[in-house]
Amino acid sequence: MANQRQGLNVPDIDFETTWGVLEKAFLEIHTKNASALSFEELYRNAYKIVLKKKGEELYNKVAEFEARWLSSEVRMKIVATITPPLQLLTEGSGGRALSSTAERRTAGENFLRTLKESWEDHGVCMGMLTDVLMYMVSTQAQQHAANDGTDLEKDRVYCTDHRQPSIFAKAMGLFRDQILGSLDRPNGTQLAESLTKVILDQIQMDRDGEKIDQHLIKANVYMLEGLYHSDQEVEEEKLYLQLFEPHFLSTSAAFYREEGERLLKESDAGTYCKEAKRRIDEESDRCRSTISESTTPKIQKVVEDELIRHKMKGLIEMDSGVQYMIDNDKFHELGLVFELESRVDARKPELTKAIVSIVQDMGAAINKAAETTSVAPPAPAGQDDAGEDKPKAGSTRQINQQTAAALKWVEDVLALKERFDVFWKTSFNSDQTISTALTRSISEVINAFNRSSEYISLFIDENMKKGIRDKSEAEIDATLEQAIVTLRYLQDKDIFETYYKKHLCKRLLLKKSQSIDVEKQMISRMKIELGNSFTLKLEAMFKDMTLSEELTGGYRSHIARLGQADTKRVDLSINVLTSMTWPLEAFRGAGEDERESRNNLLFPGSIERIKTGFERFYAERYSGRKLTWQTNMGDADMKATFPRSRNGKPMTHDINCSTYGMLILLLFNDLPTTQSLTLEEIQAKTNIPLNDLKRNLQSLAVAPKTRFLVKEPMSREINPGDRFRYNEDFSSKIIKIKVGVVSAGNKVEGEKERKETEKKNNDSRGFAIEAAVVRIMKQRKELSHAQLLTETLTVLSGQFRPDVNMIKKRIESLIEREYLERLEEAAVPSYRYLA
Amino acid sequence: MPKRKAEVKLEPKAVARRKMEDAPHRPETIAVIVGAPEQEQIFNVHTDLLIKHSNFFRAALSNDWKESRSRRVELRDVEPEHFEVFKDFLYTGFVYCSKAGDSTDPPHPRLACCWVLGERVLCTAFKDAASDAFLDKYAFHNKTPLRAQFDIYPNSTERSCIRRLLVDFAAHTWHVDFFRREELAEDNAAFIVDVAIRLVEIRNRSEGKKNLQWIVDRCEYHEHVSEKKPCYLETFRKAR
Repeated sequence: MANQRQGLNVPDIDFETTWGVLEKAFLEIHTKNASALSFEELYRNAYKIVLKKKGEELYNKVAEFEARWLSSEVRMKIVATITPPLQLLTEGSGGRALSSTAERRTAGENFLRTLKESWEDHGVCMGMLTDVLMYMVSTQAQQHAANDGTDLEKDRVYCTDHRQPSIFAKAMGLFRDQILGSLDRPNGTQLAESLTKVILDQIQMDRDGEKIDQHLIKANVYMLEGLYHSDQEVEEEKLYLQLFEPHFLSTSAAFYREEGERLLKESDAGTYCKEAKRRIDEESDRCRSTISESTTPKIQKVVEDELIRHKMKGLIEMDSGVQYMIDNDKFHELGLVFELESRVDARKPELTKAIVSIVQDMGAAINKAAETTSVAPPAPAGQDDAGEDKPKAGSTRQINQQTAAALKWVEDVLALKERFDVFWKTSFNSDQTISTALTRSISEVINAFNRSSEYISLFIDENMKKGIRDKSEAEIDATLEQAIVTLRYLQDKDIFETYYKKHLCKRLLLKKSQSIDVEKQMISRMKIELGNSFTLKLEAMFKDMTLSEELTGGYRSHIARLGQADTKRVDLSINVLTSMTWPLEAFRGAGEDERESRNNLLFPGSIERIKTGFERFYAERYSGRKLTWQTNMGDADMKATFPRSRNGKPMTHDINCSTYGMLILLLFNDLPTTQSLTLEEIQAKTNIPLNDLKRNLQSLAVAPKTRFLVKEPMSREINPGDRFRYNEDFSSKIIKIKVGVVSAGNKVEGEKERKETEKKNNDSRGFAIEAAVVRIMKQRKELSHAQLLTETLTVLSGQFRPDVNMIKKRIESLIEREYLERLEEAAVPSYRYLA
Repeated sequence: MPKRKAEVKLEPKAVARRKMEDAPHRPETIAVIVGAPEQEQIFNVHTDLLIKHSNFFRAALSNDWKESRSRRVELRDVEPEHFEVFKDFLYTGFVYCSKAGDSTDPPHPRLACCWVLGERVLCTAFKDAASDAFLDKYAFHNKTPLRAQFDIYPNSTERSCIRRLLVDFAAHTWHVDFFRREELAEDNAAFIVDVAIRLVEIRNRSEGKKNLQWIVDRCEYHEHVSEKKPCYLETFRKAR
């Protein structure tokens, strides 16, 4: 009665018969004869078996059927393709050598093709089988889902134990076990192993530049990627990852290790880089086209390790390595090296190291050259190089040689920096790390040279005096910028300041500067670069100059108002300099003791008059200020007439000479032409310091072009008892004659001067350190020694890098003077500020 | 079909060059022959609908089977009446399941059989729609399905939801008399077991954790009561 009520008739079916129908159909499917089969009929049969709760039996039958099919038909077909060349290949290490590439390639491709086809057929057939068994599959899935959700402990244990892989997964597993897991012949190798070896062999051919069928390999790799070690299908257990990839990576590593070594030996660095880059690109291409994208990062790492990371040092140090590339401007190759190392390490340690050492070597060479040239001329550019028999041009050349060395040094350093900047931009992709390294090493180069401060200042001096004469504004700008660039690297900025002040002082007082505007520009640049405090004194110097101009003008109009239209009156132009800002010692000769005597100079009446006149004028304007006359820095314009100057006819010359020179010449104004004066007499009449006197007499009586006086006896040296008289026979075609003033130009300091500068500088550093220490301690009250040191170093880093010993000494001295005291109870050495 | 007509300028060449293959998909139909030969009916159904909703049709029409070559699918063990409901569902999303003046019990077309058809062609949407229609028809009209299990049980698997629905209906709404029907006893063991389990579950749920509350007095299960003797607990009290 119940059966009649059912809409769908499910007559009792016999499992064996129904399976028989299905099995027959499956065979047809495997032999590609499915088109005659009715899907509906097959599906219905499977459906009914499942409804009769025979799903499990059906599953097992299908698995059995597949295993049988794979292990007989399919396996046979594949094993048949393993021909002797492949057997040799898979058997052992010597395999590759024993048969020709062509043989192996054909055999390999044959094997791969058969395997690929079998795999694809298997996939298609299993797809169809799964469709037929769809009802079984879906109830299985339902069961699993229900079991996962069940609460009954007992049920769960039972079901997880019996969980089956889906029939498709099962079939894939069967392929793995029955085909890849089987041996190619009794006691032979597993097919999976053979497969790996064949693929690796083909890849090797590809690396050697032979053509291979990439799609074929890709299809087989795809198969390995689709198969898992167990039926659970865990992602990490892909056969590809287990059977193929490790072998691929290890053989690749071995290959590239050898390849890298060979390349290092056989080719130059440029070629190596190109080759390495090509190989890396090639391997990622290979992953895309032949193997699996998932391997790309891994194989890249292998190649990078073997060709770059382990070889970078060797590559850089090769004969044709980085040094060679830099020497020969191989921008492209350097770029390659950079690119290669960037791949493996963002910090590029090897390349940076190499670049730093090259810069330092080149810098050291520049420093050495500068040192050699500055020492080379035996006579130091000292005090006695003018006014002797030796032609003046010679000594000028000597000075110039020194100065030229300084200029060359600065220019060389700039060129070095410029050069590496170009490398940095074109080859190193403006990389930050390399930029930092470059800055550091150039700074080291500059600071390793102990006269860098002086030389940089001289460089600016030279440019201010001559260099910018015919330059356009943009060029001047560039020059100034260059100077600032070197300055930026300079550590001992305080020493530089000393030199700069000195040089600037001479430029201003002797009016050597081409353009005050440019000078001021330079100062404002320094202000930006080094800060306000640095340029404070320099600016004050300019201010003094402007004030003095106004003062001179004021004095002139003051005189004019007095109404003494005395044409013979001596005109005065004056510079009033604030004594603390101006490095007046720049003009001073070697002797320190002359300072007192200078003030007691004996001026002739006309000069003395205006001197006191101005003093009065100045005292009216600024009360309470004391004027000290720096006569050694002044100069004078005079008109002098010589009777036989122009072809025996009288001629009046405009003579420009130092104030001392003027005093000496004025003495002869009052004397009959034949009368002479001894050195001692001149000194007594003028009270000029002996050294200055000797020097000025040398210019006036020895130097051929300005021999206004005749010296007896005629010799280079000025000796006590020498006599001087007016030179009636002086003749010159030039109207304006400038008497060479010794030490007028800025030049490299002599050894003695330099020691002096250094000493002075050390003194001022001492003050700066003490000031810094006191400031810090005042603020912190108590501080440990180490902390105080670091803070002092930080505070002073803008000016110079203090010597730690010097700081220690200064601290000691401050303790002695009871600014600080030691803390007895502290664990680490510490100090306290004493208010 | 341009939305803003003014902007579209059709170039004559562009019209002429259109390839046949680029034409929009033209739905094709296949013939589904339903029912035993003597009462068969042929339904022409659009393939894309079938493939979209039914895994059975998708598989039958995708690989190189006889069906995909002949564009015919035979379903001899399905009644045309139910396939019609399926077909209408495919096109509309509704289950058209009552006929005017039909007084059969259960009324035709039988929704349980529709569900079975859904199971047969692996169309989840149709199965669920059929089970919803089933609910609507009974639960919301205060009716009780008494015979659906005869259709469902032989044609479904253990865990199917439709079975749960039927069991819940029985457990919650069936009158005691319904269980006493003779027809129920025949060949319906699976159904009866499921209902029994469900009833226990319902009982457990309503009583919560107080499982032992029904034990009022242990002596109810003691034999001494009928022998009118005191309980052993009493007699041994002093000894213990």
